[in-house]
Amino acid sequence: MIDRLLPGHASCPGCAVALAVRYVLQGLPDRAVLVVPPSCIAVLMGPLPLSSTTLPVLQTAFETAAAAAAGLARAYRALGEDVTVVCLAGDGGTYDIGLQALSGAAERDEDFLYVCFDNEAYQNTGNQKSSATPWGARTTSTPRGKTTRKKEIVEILAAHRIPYAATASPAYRDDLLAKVRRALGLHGTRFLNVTCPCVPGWGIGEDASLRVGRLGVESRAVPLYEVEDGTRYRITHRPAGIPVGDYLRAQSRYAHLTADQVAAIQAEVERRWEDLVERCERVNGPAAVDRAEARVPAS
Amino acid sequence: MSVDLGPARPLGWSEPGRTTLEIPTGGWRTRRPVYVEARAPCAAACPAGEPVPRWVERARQGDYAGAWALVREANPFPAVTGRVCAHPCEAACHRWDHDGAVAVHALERFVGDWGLAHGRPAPPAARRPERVAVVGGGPAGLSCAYHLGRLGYRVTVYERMPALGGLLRYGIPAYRLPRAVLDREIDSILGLGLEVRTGTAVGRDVPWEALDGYDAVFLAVGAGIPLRLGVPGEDHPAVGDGLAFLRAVNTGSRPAPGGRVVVVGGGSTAMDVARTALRLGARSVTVLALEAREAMPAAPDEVEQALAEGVEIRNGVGVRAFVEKDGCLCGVEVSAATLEQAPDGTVRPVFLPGPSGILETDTTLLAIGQRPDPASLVAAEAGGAGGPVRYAGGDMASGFRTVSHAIGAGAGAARLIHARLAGVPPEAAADLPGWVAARPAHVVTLDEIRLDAFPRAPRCPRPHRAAARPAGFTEVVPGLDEAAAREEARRCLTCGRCVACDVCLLACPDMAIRRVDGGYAVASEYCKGCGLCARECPRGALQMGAER
Repeated sequence: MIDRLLPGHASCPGCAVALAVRYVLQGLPDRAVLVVPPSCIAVLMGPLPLSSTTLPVLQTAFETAAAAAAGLARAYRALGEDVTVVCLAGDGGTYDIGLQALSGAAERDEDFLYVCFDNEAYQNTGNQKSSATPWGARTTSTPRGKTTRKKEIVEILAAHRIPYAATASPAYRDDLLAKVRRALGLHGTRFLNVTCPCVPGWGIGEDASLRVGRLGVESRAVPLYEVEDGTRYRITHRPAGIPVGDYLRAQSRYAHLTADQVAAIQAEVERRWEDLVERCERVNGPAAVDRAEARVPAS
Repeated sequence: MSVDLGPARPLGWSEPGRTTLEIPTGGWRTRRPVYVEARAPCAAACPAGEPVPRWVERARQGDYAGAWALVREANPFPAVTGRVCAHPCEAACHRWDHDGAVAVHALERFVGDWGLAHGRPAPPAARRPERVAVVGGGPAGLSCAYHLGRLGYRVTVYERMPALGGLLRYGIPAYRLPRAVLDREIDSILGLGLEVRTGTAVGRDVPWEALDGYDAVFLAVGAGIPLRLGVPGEDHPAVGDGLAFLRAVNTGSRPAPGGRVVVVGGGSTAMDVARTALRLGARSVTVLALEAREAMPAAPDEVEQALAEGVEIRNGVGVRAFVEKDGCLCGVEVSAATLEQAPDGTVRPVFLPGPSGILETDTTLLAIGQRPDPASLVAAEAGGAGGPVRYAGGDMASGFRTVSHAIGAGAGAARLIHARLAGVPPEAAADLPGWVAARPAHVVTLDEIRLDAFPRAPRCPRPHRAAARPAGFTEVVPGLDEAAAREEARRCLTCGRCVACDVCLLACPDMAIRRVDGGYAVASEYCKGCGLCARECPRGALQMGAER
């Protein structure tokens, strides 16, 4: 295990993005270049003139990470160099501002790995909502809770029929690293959405980000799955199916929700899970998922 | 054209070679993580004071010699207690509600049996000049003698009976504790060079004054006087004492309890008496217990085995009287009862309204407890006045009358005697590496354990050979084989003790935890004090403390 993220970086104490970046970098080859748009990752990468990683980093404008990565990858190929290009972006630079560049690169099947560290709002500028913010979550720009749903970014990328798109969580390091390795074994545009609980933005304790990450996965609010070639779905971790209320109550951004609203979120989680299970079955046959086990228990 | 992509050679914007290692983010910290060794609940519950997670860890690693040596730091009888201890450790186990307590009792037996087959006892420390007398060669006395012998004291053990072992030998039946096992563990204690005077009752065969020449005296003569019910007809010769019956059986006589046997009592002794009577040919054996089935003081597995062998247990009934006809005991008058605890700690029946019935019997054996002989207490009180200080322990000095409590009392007395004679503090410093802080007073709580880090794994099955109408005294419960023992040892959560699992190392967002000689060090200059490492530690071996 080689750590390519160095101590002394400027993330908040207990930051799950820092942990997830650490894990992703552990999974990279020595010959890799990072591309980072404005995000918590850019903060993490160190204040000028310092760097917090042993890998080269190209910082780009907010909307151009995927375009810059595409250019870098093509340049290295033209030079005959075997260099892995990896974008490390936040949800703002992915779901919102960088989506056009990412969609364009994905359509051209540009050869890079794009990792979105999704903490579900513009956290380093003070917790403004993004299109990754879930329904009901309070941010500084949605003080009574967001009234629209979270964008299904993995579905959007899978709809480009790229070779690999997956979700991951720093609370499940083995699963995350397996997905990094799987992605690195393929060519073309590969996409990973890593859901990262945010200490100040989600209103959780400095020591709680991994625990809350587990609650998200085990409640099926954050399913861990992968999609190959836009069609072959596979659930990579069978959740325990705890009530989603356990996940929501652990975060102060949901403290204002009524019982009815929590029940509505539970219903939405179940609908999304059923949908995911159906997609897995459609490709792999019913044997791939044990339906009885996969169904969310009544809460 | 090629581009140099060496380590720490950023492409675009930072100065080559300059990294955030220059920024001491440790200055943000208000709390710091501290690796601790706290007490596991099993160890806290162990009356013999065994460091349970430490020896289980050795067994898990296959280091049975190390495990055996660690058990015997506290308890010289692991093969015995691995069979007859009531194992309160398992009731305290944090795995209980997850997937069942770790089978510590079975593991202890495995380790003890391994020691009997392969173990090499540590030699005693250098001989000391002081002499200590131990009166009573049961588990408390032998435990005290063992611990003092290891420290180099000259110890003499006085035992009234012809052989050492006390209730282990003269009370507990061989189908629970094979005599070869007991003999070998006692031999291992005597290997320390103790002087033994069996068949010698102090106060009868030698005067109490004979103890005045010693530097210290430990009294552990047990509680030999059987309690009585105090009901009419109890003096009939067919109403016997259960312990005396067991003593007779265990000294080689084979009393034949007539046809229908009734045993009064709900504890371990009552089960022993009932099952022994069955083995000696009783036509039927009925146990009368005041307690409800699940509240019986006897261990649940003993109750289960007694039932499997054909013992009938009636719960919630008390004895009102013994019924005599033509000089023969013909029945026990019983009626529904509950129990209440008297102020002195003894248990009394409270009879419920309702009719009483007659239970036909030929022999009744009482197993309702014992009390110490007042003469022995007088002797214990008589210490001082120029003579050596006298300590007392075991059943004669405690209401907790189990083998493990006796062993723990003997060890505790040895510590006190050593503290007095050698002038060292009774609590020895914990043997820990420098990166671990001892927290012996803190017992790890369930919410310090992260159970989701431990996949559910079923507890090892403990089959027994209890079958209806047992004839002989061969051992009923087989031990674990090595594979099963290793498997079970792997289930131990090792509460409150770092096992170098790397969870903390990998949970640090600041790369501030580093491996050092078998453990970890926290880089003070970078740790931001978030506490993720402590929160993620699966076993409570890492705690957040205030920054100094």
